[in-house]
Amino acid sequence: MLVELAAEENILRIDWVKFAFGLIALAVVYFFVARKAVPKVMKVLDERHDAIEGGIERAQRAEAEAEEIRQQYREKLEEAHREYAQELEKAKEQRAAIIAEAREEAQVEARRIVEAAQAQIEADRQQAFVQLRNEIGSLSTDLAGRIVGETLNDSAAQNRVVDRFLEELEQSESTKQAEVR
Amino acid sequence: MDIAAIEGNLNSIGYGISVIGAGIGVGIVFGLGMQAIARQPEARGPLQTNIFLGFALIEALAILGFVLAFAI
Amino acid sequence: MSADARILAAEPGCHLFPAQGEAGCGFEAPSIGMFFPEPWLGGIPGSDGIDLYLVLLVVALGASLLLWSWFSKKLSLVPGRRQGVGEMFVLFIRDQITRPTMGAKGDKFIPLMTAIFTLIVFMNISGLIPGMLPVNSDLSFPAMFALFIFVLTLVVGMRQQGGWGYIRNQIFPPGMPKPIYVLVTPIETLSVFIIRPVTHALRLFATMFAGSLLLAVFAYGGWYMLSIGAEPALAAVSVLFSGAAVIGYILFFVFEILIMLVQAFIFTLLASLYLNQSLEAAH
Repeated sequence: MLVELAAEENILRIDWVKFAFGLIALAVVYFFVARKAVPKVMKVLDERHDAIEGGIERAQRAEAEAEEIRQQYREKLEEAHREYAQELEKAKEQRAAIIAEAREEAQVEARRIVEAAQAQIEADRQQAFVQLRNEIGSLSTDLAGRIVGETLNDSAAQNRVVDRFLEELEQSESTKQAEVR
Repeated sequence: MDIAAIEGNLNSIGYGISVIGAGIGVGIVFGLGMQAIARQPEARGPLQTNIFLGFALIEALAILGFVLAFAI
Repeated sequence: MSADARILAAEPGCHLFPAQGEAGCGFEAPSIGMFFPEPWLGGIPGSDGIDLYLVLLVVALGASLLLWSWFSKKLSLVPGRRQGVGEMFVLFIRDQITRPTMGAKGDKFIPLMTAIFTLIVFMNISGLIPGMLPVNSDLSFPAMFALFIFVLTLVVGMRQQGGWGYIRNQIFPPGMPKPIYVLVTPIETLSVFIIRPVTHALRLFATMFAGSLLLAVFAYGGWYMLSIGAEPALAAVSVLFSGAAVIGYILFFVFEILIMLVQAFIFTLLASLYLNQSLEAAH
């Protein structure tokens, strides 16, 4: 090495005392840094690395879970939709059935009413017929009595008798109606 | 004052001359090294290693000049 | 100022323009003498004894220990600002110094490189304190680091590749035609076993030495040119000169901070490069 102890002020001279002190200083710093500082820092760095990796894993797991729950939810929703559609279908059928039933009932009722009305009309007609027949009989006998009571010579007289009879009849009818009113 | 007379140590001038070559060399090493890294940034690691090896070798010459300036 | 206070104290009255009624005196630039402070405890044979360098070394050692105990105190998973800087420091050593040169198998040298880097930075930075010197401007300390690294490369290389295997790989680089070895072997021998450790030490030493000498020249020149005692006109001119010197001092001060950090980085990077050649058989 460039050790020149002879020269008093030579900068290229190595002072072995300083050399030794320098070595001691380096050793002290090295042991401190290697034993305490750097391993601690490295450990924390590794731990953080692990934590971040673990965090990512946790996040992935949570995401998978959420996906599963979403899937379940979606299935349930679909099921609900399906059930709703079924219910709707059923309701429609029921409605149709109810309408058909009601319509049938209504028809039956209508038919019954019509029949009753017809029966009533028939009965009225029968009654009127019976009454009319009675009246026509008495009127005929009455008319016949009048005709016989008059002289039945000429047809004009006969006609007059008939006309008068009918007038009377009409008048009596109208008076009867007026009475009724 | 006599301008022509040179006082002091001639070794310093010798050192100055010896450093010219090393200066140019170090410039070339780092310049071309930068160019190489710019062309292939992915090869940065080995390039950097070799740049500094070449730099150390070239600067050794300048440092030898420095030593000789003081030692002789 | 960085110029040694004792040098200033030695020549208090010497200025560019002599004071009225006094004889002028010449400028004495700061010399190599500023790197040889007076020892407090001399008399040790072959040594300067205990002087400013050793005190500054102890300060740098204390600063390194304090820094790292501060960085490694109460570490948590969620880093605060202090812990973030400490982790950045370790990751810087790993990703910028050991990983690019040695790869993953160099991870076991991270503490060593961290220790060397931290100690060198503090030993350089001490030169920024006015009146002090960078500890590395005494060749003993860079030589200590370089010799330590050199011995370490030898030990690691011989353990990894065998005693003769390591030397053979170094002086007979594999993969070359036989005749070339006549040329390569002497160069490689010289380079690996002499030039490499020597330049490794001297690079750090020379930059610190030259840098602090430069700062001292600016500081001392500024002081020399400031001649207030002279005639008023000359005194005004001298203040201007002195101001220029101070501006230069400030610029080089900042530049010197950069140089100190870069040299520490280069020293550590080269150390890990040399270690890599011991770890790897063939290159």
